[in-house]
Amino acid sequence: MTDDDAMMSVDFITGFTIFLIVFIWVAAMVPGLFIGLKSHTVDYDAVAYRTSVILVEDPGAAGTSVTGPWEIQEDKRDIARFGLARSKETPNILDERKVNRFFCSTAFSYPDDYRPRVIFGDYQYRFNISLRETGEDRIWSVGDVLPAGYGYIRRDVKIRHGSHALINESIIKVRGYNNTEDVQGSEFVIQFDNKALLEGDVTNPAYQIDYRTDRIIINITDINVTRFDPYPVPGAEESKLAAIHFYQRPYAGTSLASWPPLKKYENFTFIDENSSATLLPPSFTVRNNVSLIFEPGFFATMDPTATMFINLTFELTPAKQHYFNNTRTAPFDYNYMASNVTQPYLKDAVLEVAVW
Amino acid sequence: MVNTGGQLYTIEGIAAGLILLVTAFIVVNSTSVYTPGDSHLNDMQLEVIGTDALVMMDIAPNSTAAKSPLQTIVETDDSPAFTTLFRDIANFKTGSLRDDIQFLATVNYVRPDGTINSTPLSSSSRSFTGTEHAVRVTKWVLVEKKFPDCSALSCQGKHAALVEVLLWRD
Repeated sequence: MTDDDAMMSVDFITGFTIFLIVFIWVAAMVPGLFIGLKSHTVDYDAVAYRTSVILVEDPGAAGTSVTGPWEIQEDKRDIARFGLARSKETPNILDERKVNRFFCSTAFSYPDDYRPRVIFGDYQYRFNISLRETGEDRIWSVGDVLPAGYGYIRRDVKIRHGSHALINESIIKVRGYNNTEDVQGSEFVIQFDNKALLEGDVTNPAYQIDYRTDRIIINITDINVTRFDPYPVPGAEESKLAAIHFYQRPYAGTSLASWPPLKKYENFTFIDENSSATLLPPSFTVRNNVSLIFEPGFFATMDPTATMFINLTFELTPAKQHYFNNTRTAPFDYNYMASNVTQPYLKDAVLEVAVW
Repeated sequence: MVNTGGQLYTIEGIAAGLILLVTAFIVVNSTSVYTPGDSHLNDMQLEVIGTDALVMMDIAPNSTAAKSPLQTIVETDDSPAFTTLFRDIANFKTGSLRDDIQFLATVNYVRPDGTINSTPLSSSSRSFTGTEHAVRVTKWVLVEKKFPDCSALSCQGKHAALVEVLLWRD
């Protein structure tokens, strides 16, 4: 009798071979089932959409070790997340200051500063983000040139532009800032009623004047109309903006207290008629116009319920001449009246995000 | 006696294996996982653009403007204004080339008897034939308007109206 120990049945070999072939074949077909999920386009589009949501609907965030919004942080390491929305309550309304900071090529470098703050993810995505206002030729942009096959999203937005005050000849005459009484010195006072600005009739962040985070611009023009003869001749007179002081008066209080700006802001910008931007406090000669520009964050430490006063002190030669002042009238109020202040306004724009 | 050891006589097994093979081939070959990789992306992009455009139209440009452009358009049935504004916002791009999104807008409101009426508001240059692959976006607006079938004084005051826009690309 034949000994079949250690012999393998042909049935078994055949069956096992067929099983193996089928198994390998089916396994080889499985990746094809998920060809759609493997598509890079799907991922890129999703990342582009996510990035647009972060930019358009989120105000961004600074690090936990600092105070204030991200756009006023000087050190980029203090910025945790970019976001261009004016506030959480106003999606699609971008803040002009955040836009300027975000697209500033000297402040941030592509792509290293952007990836961990707006793109996120482990994969090293490349991207291009661009923004343009309607009716404007200027395009804000950051990123690479677009290749073929990138993920894309477009968002319709509005850009919120800040307020500014213009004190010109008509306001000077109507409000009596060319006071003819014998004033001993020339002081001009601008006031911000913080409580009225932040808790008054305008509560929508899109339209609100928030002096703590807005850039505050005050343009004073036609100062020489306040002079009387014989001093309208150029060169025959001189006036200097000698000092600018800041005060605050508590809500429902009467006492004035001096308020010092943070050290990093103590030199703010002024623009004289014939010169480029310079920094105060050096005393400077006033020709006819003065612009004061306080960068976002300048008033960040101001009491939000107090009334704030900016006192401009002019030195005149010869002294005691009639000059620009509101000593005998009311301070100029930086408020929501269009006759006083050009109000914040919104303008249509489009944001495009491409990721690959 | 013939020894059956080592014989391949289970022909049924082979036949069953082949049937299994053919079945597996048919099943695997005819199955696909439906992903949002294709048309859904384009739909989503159109939907985002349309929704954004309507939201932007319903925001006043400054604090002194009492009403948004969309409220004014619905209240005055200003079809040309809607066409111009929506077309400009939805088709604007950062580059020099504009998009070419077509649209059809209607306003829906509740009649005094509780039924819903729909009135045409605006459309792009190419009319909607029904065969387009369109997406639908909507926006509720509060309007102070007396709608056509509203003759009683009780119809005065603010009403909620639904602006509905169909968008498609050629």
